Amino acid sequence: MPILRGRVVDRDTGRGIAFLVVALNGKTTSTDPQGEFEIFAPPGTYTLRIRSPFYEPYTREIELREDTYIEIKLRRTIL
Amino acid sequence: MGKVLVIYSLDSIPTTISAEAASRSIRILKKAGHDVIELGALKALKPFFLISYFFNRFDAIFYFGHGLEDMLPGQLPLGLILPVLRTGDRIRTKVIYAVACLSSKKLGRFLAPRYTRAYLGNRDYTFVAFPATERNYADDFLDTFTTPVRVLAEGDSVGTAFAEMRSRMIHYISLYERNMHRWPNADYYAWAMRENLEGFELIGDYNAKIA
Repeated sequence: MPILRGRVVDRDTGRGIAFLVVALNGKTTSTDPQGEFEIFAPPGTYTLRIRSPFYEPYTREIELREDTYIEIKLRRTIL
Repeated sequence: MGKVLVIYSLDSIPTTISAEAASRSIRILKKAGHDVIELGALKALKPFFLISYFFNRFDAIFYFGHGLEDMLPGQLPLGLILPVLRTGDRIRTKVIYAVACLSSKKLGRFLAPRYTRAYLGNRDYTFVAFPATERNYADDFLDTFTTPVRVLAEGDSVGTAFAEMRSRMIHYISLYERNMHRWPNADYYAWAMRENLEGFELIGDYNAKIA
């Protein structure tokens, strides 16, 4: 079963963002203190959604055929 | 027409959006015939503010940038040492409108109505918005947060400005909620706009006007 691995970083600071909710259709996980996450899923097309109160939302269609790594840069939304 | 001060910082990604709100506000105020003094980016610090304040009698102060409970720091990181405004500063003006986090909680309550007739600001976090592929949520943010400036610039009261701003927020929350099935990021921005709606408050005299 392919693994989707990723790292979510703050676009301003380049630091990983911890405890973001990462959802691949019905499967949910959260980022670790370094901003990294991984989700196992059967091959297919999914909607990847990342949510946090303090960062812009991230939603993207993703085709998972083999192990995949993505890096996502998010912008902080609080003033 | 009134004399107004517009202060904005430009020190992080969220402040690129609030600075754009400041820029649009300056255009609105000038178009309405007001005398506008600007303190932007590195000028958004205490020494520049004090010079402007002591040589002018401002009818209103508009602030766009980061905020804390007891201060409007201005340009970071220097603003933490030389904040534009902090609790204890007896600033006399008619209206202060702060597009910033948290500042009405202590600073707003200190200033209004004793020194400043009315303070419009947020007691909680203020969330900006960014463009997404399905919709330019940043434009909605800019429309919402320049609405009080437009209303005040046209000569209406700060109470009306606050009501109009809330009305824009409710409009966008409703729009996002109706379109959640086709706008993939609308859930977040509906939540963020609701947080802004619940956090912004007007302290002091609802009838205060800038001119």
